[in-house]
Amino acid sequence: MALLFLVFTIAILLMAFNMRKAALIVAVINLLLILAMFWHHVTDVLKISL
Amino acid sequence: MKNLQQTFNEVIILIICGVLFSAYCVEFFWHEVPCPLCMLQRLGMVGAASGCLLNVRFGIKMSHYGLSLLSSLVGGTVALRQISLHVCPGMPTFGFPVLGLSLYTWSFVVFACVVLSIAGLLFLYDPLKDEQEAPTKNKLATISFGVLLAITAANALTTFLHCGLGPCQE
Repeated sequence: MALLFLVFTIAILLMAFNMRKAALIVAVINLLLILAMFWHHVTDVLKISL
Repeated sequence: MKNLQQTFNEVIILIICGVLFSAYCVEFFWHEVPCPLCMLQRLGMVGAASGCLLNVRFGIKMSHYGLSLLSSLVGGTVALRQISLHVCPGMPTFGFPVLGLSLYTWSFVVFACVVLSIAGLLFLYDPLKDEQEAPTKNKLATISFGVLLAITAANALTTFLHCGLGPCQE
């Protein structure tokens, strides 16, 4: 999860270098990774309860 | 009108940073190690603030609001999931309650407020005027940029110290 925070840090740094599109794409890809991590957590809990 | 929108975006960033900072205070002063779902909610907050920061740095655009809304939706879903895990009577809540509510319940309230405030800001949005004007640089914009960068980098560092680069354990 530290990697996800790191990617957001990179996205914010990209904004500092006026790279708007790159920052936006990096942030959206990171959101997809967050969703994947959430799904991983949900299925893990389901496996335990089943 | 555009300055008003920009100021509102800066205020949203600072409020989210305040919430993240208070989560840090709970972590360090009450020695509460954050759970994986708490981390995902923090990430959702950083994403919502990043969308607002794009508005502040590059001017008001629909795609920036889209990023904030999407992040709030993801974070709100994670918070709702955590609330549902502890909603049954007799189930213990996770963590230290603040003003009678658990931190994940507060987190859901924050995401709902972000969605509501962006909905309000979209009423002020005029695509013909707003997308052509360059953003004005002021002190609050610099402060919000610095604070968000610092708090995101600090979260990256402490999460790395807690659980390394992979997913955190329960």
